[in-house]
Amino acid sequence: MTTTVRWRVLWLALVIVGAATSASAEPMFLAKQYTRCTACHYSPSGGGLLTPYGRLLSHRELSTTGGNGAASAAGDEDDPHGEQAFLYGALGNALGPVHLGLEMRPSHLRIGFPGGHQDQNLLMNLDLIGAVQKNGWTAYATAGREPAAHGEDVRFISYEHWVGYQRDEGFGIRAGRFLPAYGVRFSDHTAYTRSYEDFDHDDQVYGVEVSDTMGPSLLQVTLAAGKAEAIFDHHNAGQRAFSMTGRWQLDLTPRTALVGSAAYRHSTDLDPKSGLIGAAFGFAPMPRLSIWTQVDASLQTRARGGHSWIAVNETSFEAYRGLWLKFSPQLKTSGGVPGFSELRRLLFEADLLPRTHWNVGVSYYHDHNHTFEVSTSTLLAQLHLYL
Amino acid sequence: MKHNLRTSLRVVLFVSVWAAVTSAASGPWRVGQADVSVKCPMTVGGTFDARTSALTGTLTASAGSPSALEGNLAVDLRTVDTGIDLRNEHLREKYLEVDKGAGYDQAVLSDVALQGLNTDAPAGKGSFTASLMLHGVKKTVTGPVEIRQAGTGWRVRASFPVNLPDYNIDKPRYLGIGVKDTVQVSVTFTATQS
Repeated sequence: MTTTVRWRVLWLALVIVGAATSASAEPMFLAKQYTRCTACHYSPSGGGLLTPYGRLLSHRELSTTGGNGAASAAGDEDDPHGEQAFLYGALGNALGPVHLGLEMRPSHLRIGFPGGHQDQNLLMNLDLIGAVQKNGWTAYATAGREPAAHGEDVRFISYEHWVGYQRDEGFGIRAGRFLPAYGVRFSDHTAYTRSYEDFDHDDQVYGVEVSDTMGPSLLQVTLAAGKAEAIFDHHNAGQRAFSMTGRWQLDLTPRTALVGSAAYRHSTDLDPKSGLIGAAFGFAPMPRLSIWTQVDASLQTRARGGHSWIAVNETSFEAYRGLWLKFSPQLKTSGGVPGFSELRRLLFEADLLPRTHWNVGVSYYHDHNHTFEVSTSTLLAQLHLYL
Repeated sequence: MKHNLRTSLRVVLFVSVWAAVTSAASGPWRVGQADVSVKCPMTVGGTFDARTSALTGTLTASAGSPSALEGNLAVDLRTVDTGIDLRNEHLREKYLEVDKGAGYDQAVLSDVALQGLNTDAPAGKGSFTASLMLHGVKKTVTGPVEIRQAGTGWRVRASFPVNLPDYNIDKPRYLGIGVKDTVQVSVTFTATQS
């Protein structure tokens, strides 16, 4: 393998794995009868700051050692304390109705490629997240650092900031910067259905989302003026373009959900118009096992690779309280256009959740470019601090 | 000779089945295996199931009315499991208040009356009304019911909605999320003649 090819492979692997993640939604909790992100997260599309209930659940029901932890009394509306509160409750009630979370992920990355390997220690993300919720209204914002891209400096970024309103009857609306709802938001932002479909960690849009819950179904529609990074940055002005995303979820049972999604993105100076359409199905055949599968058709012009299929399965099993094992085969077809690759991935992951405020994750990715017969192996160890 | 034997066997088989069906229909029914599932819609969307298999009781066809059943069915509320320990704790102690007094630890269905079905030959689909005693309050419930023959007994599947405020049960709310007022109860059980 030539040095040039080796560096390309390494760069590809870094792009695939090495960027920041935000606090993640966990579709595996379907096994605990949680079909909706909003049971534990402020954001209707999942991820980010946990609600007081989400923090409580993380402590009492998910962590290995928190089974007997103190909990607020039944009927309490808002009383996070101790391990379930920001900075272990060190600020007491000083914040009033504001809820904060400080998230950071010191990580070690080892990427193996033909002829060598590369090791890297990195702080994947460092974000302060805040939310206020009152009478159906939610204001939400993050502030943190964006990891240095190749040859650039670390810079300040607010990945999400939005205001939303949710009626008890089901209708909801939010406006601002957020990641639009599409398919299943796998916690790993490098999952093929996220990274290759522009739902990665920094693919938020500025837009308006309208949602409605009708019995067991949830409809979310997002209209956006374009990717957030293109709106206020005149260097990226050519990437501003209308986009529309729709997601419909039907909870067949408390442990079975069907999701249909579609997306349309208008052309920009860099990209021709494109679309996505797909479906996902998740079920939990037993209380410790959840299986999600998402299949999408990516409708690109021939110049961008043509029509291809992207499929991700994620099977999660709680081997011991707070220890989740994941297996995830993934596929992206080439679309039959010369120069575009068919990609295959096998992901093995162990997530240990010993306490509310810190989790340990070890992931092993085997990525194979089937078109060019090149493989990389990536080992990622993360300490996820959620203070 | 062979033909006569086959005919005789058919008659014996028919009589046996008919006898089994009619006797099962007219005698008291005792609950065997059961599954009680309460589908609880959450205020933030989604649902969870609260389940138990602790259903006991007998029902007997009323002599006075072909569609009425005497007796009752009782659910042990201390055994209801939502899959989350803290939720179980709150459900039993804060909302159902199973330790509050006599009868609070059970939900009892009585005065069952079938519509569209006959207790003499109950197989089929119909509806029912009954009285539900829950949390110290007795109210009428109604819903669909399906009865099928299962061996020498019956397999019964019924469901009905329960509006929690009707039973003086506090609105289940906790740290910003809760259960909506109306939950859906589904009951499946086998019944055999005592």
